[in-house]
Amino acid sequence: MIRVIAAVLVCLSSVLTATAQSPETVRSPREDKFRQLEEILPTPNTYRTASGAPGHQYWQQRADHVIDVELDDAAQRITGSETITYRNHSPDSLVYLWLQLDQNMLAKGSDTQLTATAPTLDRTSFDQLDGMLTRATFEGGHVIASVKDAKGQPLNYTIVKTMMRVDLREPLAPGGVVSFSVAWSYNINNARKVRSRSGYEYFEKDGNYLYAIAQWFPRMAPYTDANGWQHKQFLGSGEFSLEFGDYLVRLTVPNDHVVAATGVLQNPEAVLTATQRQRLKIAETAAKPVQIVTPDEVKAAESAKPSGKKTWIFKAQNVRDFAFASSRKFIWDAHRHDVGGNRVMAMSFYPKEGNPLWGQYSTAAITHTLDVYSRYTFTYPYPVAISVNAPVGGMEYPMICFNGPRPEEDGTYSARSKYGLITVVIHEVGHNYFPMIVNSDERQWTWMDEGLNTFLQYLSEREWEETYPSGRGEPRNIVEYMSSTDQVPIMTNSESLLQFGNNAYAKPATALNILRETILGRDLFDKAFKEYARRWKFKRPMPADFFRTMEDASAIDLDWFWHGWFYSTDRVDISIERVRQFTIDTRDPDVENPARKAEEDARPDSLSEQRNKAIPKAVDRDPSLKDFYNTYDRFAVTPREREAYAKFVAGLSPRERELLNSGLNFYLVELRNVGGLVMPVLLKLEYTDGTSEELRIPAEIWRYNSKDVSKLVMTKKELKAIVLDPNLETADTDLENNAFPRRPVKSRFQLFKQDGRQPNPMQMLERKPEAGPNTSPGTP
Amino acid sequence: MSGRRDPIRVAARGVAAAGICILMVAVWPRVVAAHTFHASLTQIEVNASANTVEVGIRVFVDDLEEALTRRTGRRVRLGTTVGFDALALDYVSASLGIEGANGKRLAFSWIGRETSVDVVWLFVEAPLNGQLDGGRLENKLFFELFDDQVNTVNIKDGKRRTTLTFSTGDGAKQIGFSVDS
Repeated sequence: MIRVIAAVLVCLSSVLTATAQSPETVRSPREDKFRQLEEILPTPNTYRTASGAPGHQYWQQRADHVIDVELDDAAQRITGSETITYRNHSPDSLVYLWLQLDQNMLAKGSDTQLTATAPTLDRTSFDQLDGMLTRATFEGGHVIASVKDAKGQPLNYTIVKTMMRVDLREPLAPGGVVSFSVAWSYNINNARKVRSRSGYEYFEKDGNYLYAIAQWFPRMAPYTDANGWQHKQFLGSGEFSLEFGDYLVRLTVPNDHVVAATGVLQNPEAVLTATQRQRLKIAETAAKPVQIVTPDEVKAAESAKPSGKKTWIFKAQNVRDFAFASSRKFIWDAHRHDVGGNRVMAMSFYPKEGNPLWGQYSTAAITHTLDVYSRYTFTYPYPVAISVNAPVGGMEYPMICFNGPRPEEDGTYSARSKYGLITVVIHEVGHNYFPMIVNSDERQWTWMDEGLNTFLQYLSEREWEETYPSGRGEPRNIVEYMSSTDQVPIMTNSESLLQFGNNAYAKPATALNILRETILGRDLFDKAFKEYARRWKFKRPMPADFFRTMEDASAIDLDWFWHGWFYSTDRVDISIERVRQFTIDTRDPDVENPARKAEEDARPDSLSEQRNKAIPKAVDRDPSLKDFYNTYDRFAVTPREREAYAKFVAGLSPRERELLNSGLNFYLVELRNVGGLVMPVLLKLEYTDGTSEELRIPAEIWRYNSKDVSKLVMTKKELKAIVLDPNLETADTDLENNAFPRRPVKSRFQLFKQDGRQPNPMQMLERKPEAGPNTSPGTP
Repeated sequence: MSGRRDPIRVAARGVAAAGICILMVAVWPRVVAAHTFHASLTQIEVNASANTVEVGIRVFVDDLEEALTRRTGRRVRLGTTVGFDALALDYVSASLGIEGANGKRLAFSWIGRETSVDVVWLFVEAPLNGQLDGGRLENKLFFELFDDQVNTVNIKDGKRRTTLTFSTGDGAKQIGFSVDS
């Protein structure tokens, strides 16, 4: 076929001309963007297979906890003791165990404090100075009272910053079990001044405290096949790496407090009133949240004093952590929700300062999240899902999360606060899936939970309402970050990420959205993503397990995609450099000669030619100077040409004759990869007859040459224009080179300015709702 | 309150405007999703035909509100505070400095803003005499609030692009375009 075309093709015209070449260059065209990841990923073994699944000898440790803890409301202090039963499922003997003492991050002289770099002081507020001073003088950190073995005999231990090594009396053999206990205490930080993932909030107006307590008990550091002991110090950014286990926790608090915690309350008759238990019963079958503790009851509690203590007992099975919240200020609403056959109690706890927003949206956002996430992963397996309004922006724990947004003090709220709350509840409740159940190592890889979770958050937002103002997920929203040159790859350790929000949340979430919509398609992606979640549910995946599973379940080699999006800081910028048109030379003089004449006539006269036209010519003054050549029409068809053509046609096969008269146009589209990130080439072909069609070319078009490629477009129609990535699917960072012929592209600035400075629909977000909760904010 | 002014003055002696702002309201730290992000992104583009520099600055709304609140000593909220735009322009002009190659600092005028849930784009522009290339740029947005602020600035002049990154404490940096970005 190619040979035939070559024989009959003659370049007739280049109707579309190339514009200036980009001065930017990409790296060597011979760099193989499709090289396999094998050389980077760990070698598969019996613990983790080459297909990305847990291997036949996969193991993980287990740590069951029984904890007694008391919250001292007068001194804002935690005092506790725990018995940890640690099961060694590894093939190794362990002579010591490592525990995490996360509160030591807040201790005086911690690495977090010492390595913090200076703020600028040219404008310092009292509040800021107060915060700096409070941080520097806060007596934080775990105070270990004792570490004892099962017989109550002291065990040797050594504290290394945020880690503690407990020396076992004898090595813990593979398959062995050891029990030991730790007693400790610590001062709770004021979360408003000493920012952390937990702490207390003091309400000056009524003199009460609200506690959101996490990272509060010495926790086992994981021992894993991939990393051995994961005891990388806690500096504040890299979150947690934990083992699964069962928990029995007895929480002693002032007897007027309401407690929310990971797990199921075991002694409601001892801590709840008969009325509250009755309301809980109603909540079991209610379709909407039922108030277990009402605002009026909270108001009464706020001005009263406790008369003693109460102990709330909770049990939680197969969780990697345990957190709780406690206050006399909690309004509590709840209703039971069926998630894929699992009946889950969805509950919210918030002070009156959280209303009207919290009562309206928190629990509703919980059930929405469970529905959507369960569809894309696995059925939510826990019995409760809780959202607590607490003095942190948003922080996740098993079955419970702390979320910050509140309305204004006057009881009104902006649409921004409303969507801020729904967004953060979706995100934090969503974390139950990643990393609470798919137990990735947050200390090492933030994107494995934040990126995957932000992706599912985006899908959930899209199912909340059509015009939901999602911040992350749409390719066009990552363009500015992708086009910056000062980045680190997604595959960078959690503590070294330069731009947490863009790098670990937005970029992986957007990459997965592109993988789903543009590269694999929804069916293939959803199947593979679900398979990853299913394989690693209640297990500990590593990055390679995700990369391998997505390929394993889709039969699409995605190594180029992981290379580009996860291991490099390349950006997407594909340019249509040039388009050349070819047509078939029919060799029919009655067709070709007039065509050539038309082409010649279409050539514009030069300036001199135009000016010379009016000048009298010698041959006109004296016509006798004219001869044959003055009247000869070189485009006129001669009998000899017709004869030659007839002979040519007679020698062709019927198929060749058909091809010759096909009337096809051949367009050679020359593409350049300016940004370095290889991506599918998505072309919209616009024809002169007003029709158009889309050509979707897989990224493999770049496999021989990742810098310059050309694509042949055969069509009977005539092309008017070509647009690359017409649906803005790929986060292409430069749209100016995405059209041929070039079209002016307006920057965000110019688009805004052009719109005459009118408030756009998003600015409606700044306005308070007037018509109640259903006021729509417009689209982002 | 006045009793507390002196120690701050002493501590910050020689530093202009120290201690004049008292934050009256608790501002929520943005920890959406478990991590504090202190980042901004600025797009600067030279409009050669109009001889202007067009600037879009993407910041988190609560960071901006907190900065303006501290700067003015009163509670500033986007959407309710009258004169918000003037305060924002004033703050941007003080924090984002662009010097052309001729050493002159550009003077911004306000174009407008575009808000989404938690971020707002601020648009300003300034006349440009001469070249940006070889000039200097500083971006100390929110340095006074956060010790881990990261400000990314993408600069585009025709086909030439570059990125400058400013972390808390960083001063002005040279604007230079490399051939290969």
